[in-house]
Amino acid sequence: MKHFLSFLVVVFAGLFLALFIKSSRDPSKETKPVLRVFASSSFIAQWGPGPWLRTQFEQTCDCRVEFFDGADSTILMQRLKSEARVGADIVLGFDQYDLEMAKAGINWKTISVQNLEFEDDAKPAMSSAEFVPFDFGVMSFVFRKSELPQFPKTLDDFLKPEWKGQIAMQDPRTSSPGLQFLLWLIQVRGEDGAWEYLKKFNPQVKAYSTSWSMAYGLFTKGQAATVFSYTTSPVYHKVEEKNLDVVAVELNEGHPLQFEFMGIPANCQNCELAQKFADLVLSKDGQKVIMEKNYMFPVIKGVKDGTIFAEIPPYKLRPYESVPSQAERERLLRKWSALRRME
Amino acid sequence: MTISRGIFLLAVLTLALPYLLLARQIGGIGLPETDELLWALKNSLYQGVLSSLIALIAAFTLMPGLWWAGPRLKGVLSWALLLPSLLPPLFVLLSFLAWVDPFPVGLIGVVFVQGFMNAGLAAVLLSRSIEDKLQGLSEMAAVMGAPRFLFLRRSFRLIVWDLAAVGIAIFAFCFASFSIPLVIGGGRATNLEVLIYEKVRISTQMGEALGIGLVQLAIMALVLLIPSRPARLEAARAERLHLVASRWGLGAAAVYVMIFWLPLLKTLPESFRAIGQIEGLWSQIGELALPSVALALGAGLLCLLFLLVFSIGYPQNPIVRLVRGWLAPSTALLGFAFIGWGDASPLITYASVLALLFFLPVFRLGLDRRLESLEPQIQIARTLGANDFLIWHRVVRPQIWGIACVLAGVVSLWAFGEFALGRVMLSQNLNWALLSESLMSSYRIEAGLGVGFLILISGSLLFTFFWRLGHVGR
Repeated sequence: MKHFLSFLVVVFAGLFLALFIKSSRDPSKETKPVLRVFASSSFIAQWGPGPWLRTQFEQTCDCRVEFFDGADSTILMQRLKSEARVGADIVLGFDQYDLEMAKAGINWKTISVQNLEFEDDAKPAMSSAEFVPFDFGVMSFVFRKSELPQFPKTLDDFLKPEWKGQIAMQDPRTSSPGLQFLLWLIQVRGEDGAWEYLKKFNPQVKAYSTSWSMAYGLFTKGQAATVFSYTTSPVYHKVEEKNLDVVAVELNEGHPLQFEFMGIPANCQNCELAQKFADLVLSKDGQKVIMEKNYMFPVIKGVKDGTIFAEIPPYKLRPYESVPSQAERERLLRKWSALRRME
Repeated sequence: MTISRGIFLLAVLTLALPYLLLARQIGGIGLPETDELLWALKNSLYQGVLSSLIALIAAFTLMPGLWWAGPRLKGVLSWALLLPSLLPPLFVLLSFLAWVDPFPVGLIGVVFVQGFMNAGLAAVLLSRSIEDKLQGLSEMAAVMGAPRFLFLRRSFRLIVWDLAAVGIAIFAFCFASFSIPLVIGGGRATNLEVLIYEKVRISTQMGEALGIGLVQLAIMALVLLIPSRPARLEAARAERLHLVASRWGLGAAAVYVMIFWLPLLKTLPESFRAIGQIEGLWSQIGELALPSVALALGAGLLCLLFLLVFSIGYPQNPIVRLVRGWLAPSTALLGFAFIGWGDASPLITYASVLALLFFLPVFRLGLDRRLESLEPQIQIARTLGANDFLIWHRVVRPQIWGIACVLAGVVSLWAFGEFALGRVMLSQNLNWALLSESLMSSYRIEAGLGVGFLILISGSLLFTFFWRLGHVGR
């Protein structure tokens, strides 16, 4: 029985440890109001903008900020709808394709953005009073310029034989940049033209990865010569790695924009605090931190002036058109899947 | 109904819990378009069959090395060969991406990596079975001067069932594999498990996801219904199989181990430097150390508990076939079934769900055949009038305690590195695996790898703890 007793001792020690850790974090013992912020893991991580925003906010709000990892939008929506969940006060991290799903499942409050001057590129994304963009990115292909004698100028350049198996892409069914690329193609070439292009483009693709990070990993590990990413990606390599070799190319077709939005659910517990937190996110200091930590463009005018982000040349942009409905996107994705199966 | 049967039924119901929860949440079960389903099924079958074939063929080059090694070296070598199949797949992938450039993304890449990952496991499992079967024959053949090839040819039929059993076990792993086809399938090797993930992620088509999960379950049940001959439990033999032992096999095993370790060791300094460059990351790593260990330890202990409970009422009747065929539920489905459950007491809930996720694979890996082999002893004890509990306490438990502890150690190692489930279930970076994934998804790949090394080291230490636990009082 000796080993059995040892086993029981270890089990109870483990459970006690787990309970101890849990009780030390029990929010029910809080006396101050708690602002519950749902955001992506990279936003709330130690190296993301979340910790700075929390520190700044807690200095003036007489409250405590608690971050919840929303993972991605699908999981986030499940969490927000789940009966077992405590509600969120503010949610950050929807992109333009998530808004329809978010509106369908939950009611949202209007966010006040008075007296704020938004970047011209961000203004088209301000059509909804419930969801306000807090950063944005310009999508493009990213290269190591030392490996590239000549930059591609158009999408057709990627169909040349030298690009076969060299492009790291994201799966549009599971990744927002991947969906951006598909809808960009349809915007530029029309639906039929886009499918025709994809038939020729797919052999050039090293992998359609399920996430941006996996695709980017293939690029940084040298397995792919280029990756579909953001024009701000080279700034990361310049700042963090002092690597000047990574560049984003400009294409004649113009580039799509990706926005990240925030919203305040109508059933928020601390709605005033949530609005104040949104104000901090859109303040010049908040925007600067988000820009520097997320490596995305700020939506408020004047924030990037004098920083390395101002050195990024202006890219020709595609007009920010209305987002296809969820049903339409599902139809397009089914067609994309069928095209992949035929290879 | 006896108490033991009742306990067993309760355990089976626990395994069904995720499916019951999902059925309640979803309200209906569906299936995707036939083309899509058949395509994913074809990929699953290709991956399962080809990966297990590669693993078995590679195992035959590694086994002579195991037989050539002395007892002490053999223990170390077995552990080194098992490591690729025990560690989070990320590490194996990184090794391959370093060696193979350009890497063949798609079905070929998936089969290649899964075959490699499981070759060591196949070699260790098969070598033990073959030692049991052929030890005496090998000695006699050596004395009589039989050539090696003739011996192998004539004795092959004696090990066919063992070969099939190991092949089916590896097929089951690869057929329902998730991480490898997801990462290096590149959209071209979508199997049933990845299709479930896509259905959940694209438009929360949970009904279709559950339907695919049940199709997968049914196919695995059919495959595992293939009759097998029970293993004989014999005393371990330390002697070498002289006729088939080879120092070349030892060389092959060394190459296998180096392929895995060299690229990882090469990136080690760079990875730790990257951690140091991110302000506050070391302190966050420190804060998450205790929860990481508690989670992995908790998952391992709960799994050990499950294994022991299962062994109490393990029946020798058709129900056992159901349990053998019962697949661990898909990671994505399991995560969604328990979404929100982790908020009240995340450590305990997450550890329980991890144990639920990993219990069946380890049960099939090590305990299933061991329990089956005890059947004659149980029958004799029953004939002599012993009750179920006495039989379990005096006959079953002492003989499964060691292997159950090793399997719990494997679960704790897997739990250390699991992040896909946590990303769905939890709303905080509760352990190092989730931290590593967060780093990798925000440009900081090298730092993420650095955290991965900590997972590797700590997971190995925890595995050793369980292994030692298996020796206590046996």
